[in-house]
Amino acid sequence: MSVPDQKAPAGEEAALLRRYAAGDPTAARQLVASLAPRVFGLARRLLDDPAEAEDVTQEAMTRLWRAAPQWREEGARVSTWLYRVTVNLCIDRRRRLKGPGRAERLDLLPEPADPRADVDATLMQSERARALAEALAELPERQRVAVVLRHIEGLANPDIAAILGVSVEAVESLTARGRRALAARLIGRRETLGHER
Amino acid sequence: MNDRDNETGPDDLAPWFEAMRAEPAVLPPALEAGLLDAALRHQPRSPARRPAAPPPGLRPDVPRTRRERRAGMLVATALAASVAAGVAIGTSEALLDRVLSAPGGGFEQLAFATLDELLAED
Repeated sequence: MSVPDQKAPAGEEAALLRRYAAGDPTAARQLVASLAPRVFGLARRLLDDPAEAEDVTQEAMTRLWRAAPQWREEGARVSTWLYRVTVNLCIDRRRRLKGPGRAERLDLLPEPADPRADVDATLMQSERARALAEALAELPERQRVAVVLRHIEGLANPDIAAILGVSVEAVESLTARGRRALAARLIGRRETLGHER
Repeated sequence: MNDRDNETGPDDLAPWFEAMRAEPAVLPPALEAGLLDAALRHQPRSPARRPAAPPPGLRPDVPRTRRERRAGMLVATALAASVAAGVAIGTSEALLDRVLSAPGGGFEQLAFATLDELLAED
């Protein structure tokens, strides 16, 4: 799998949180710098709505600051805990957001094309990502979360199992079914988006 | 059919996943600044690093949802317009004076303060 491992060692995350709880301001900056982009990225991919993703990021990080003084080393790793909080917040938001009007929202429209020399490649890449986002949005909740965590965020199945509160076998099943459903939805766009087989 | 995940299976979704992963998850600067500010404000054992208590009406520790931000801006716009037109009476004008004289006061703070005031009255 080509996903880079973005995770800091579990002990490093816990040590940072311990320093944060002890009042070290540099730890606060390091935690924001290392964890917040991942939370925002996950929320944006699960919600497909940047503004809602910002709200989720604020809420998830606030929960982390509140949990810091009581953090226990032997518990879940910080990033796994934060992913679980983020996933739950996203699921709650999606349930509330379901309804008419999303397709007409101006802030959900793609950005204008980038006027660079490689504009075609950039646009193609962007359209592929948009097509995948649309296909993901049609998956059942848990399949979507499992696929995003596995194939976009690059988490290992045991971590995903801990986040979703299911067995590793269940994660494998969710991602397999999710991939099949995605493939079925995207097959008609392979030619136009440059993925002929 | 195999019900387990297969990384190199026939679906060949790798290019699609790659396209989505290539989209950078860059924090908007305002969000990053807000997160850092919240982190420092929630930080235990560092009272010296906490900003001074906000003036009455301001509640910067309360996370703002997008709807709250929009509502706050609408209310603030209407309030500012009414004051500018000389039609504001009573509490609106006093509130405006108080917010504009607050440390670091600005339009966003005006919006939040106005919204908080209205919520408190609700």
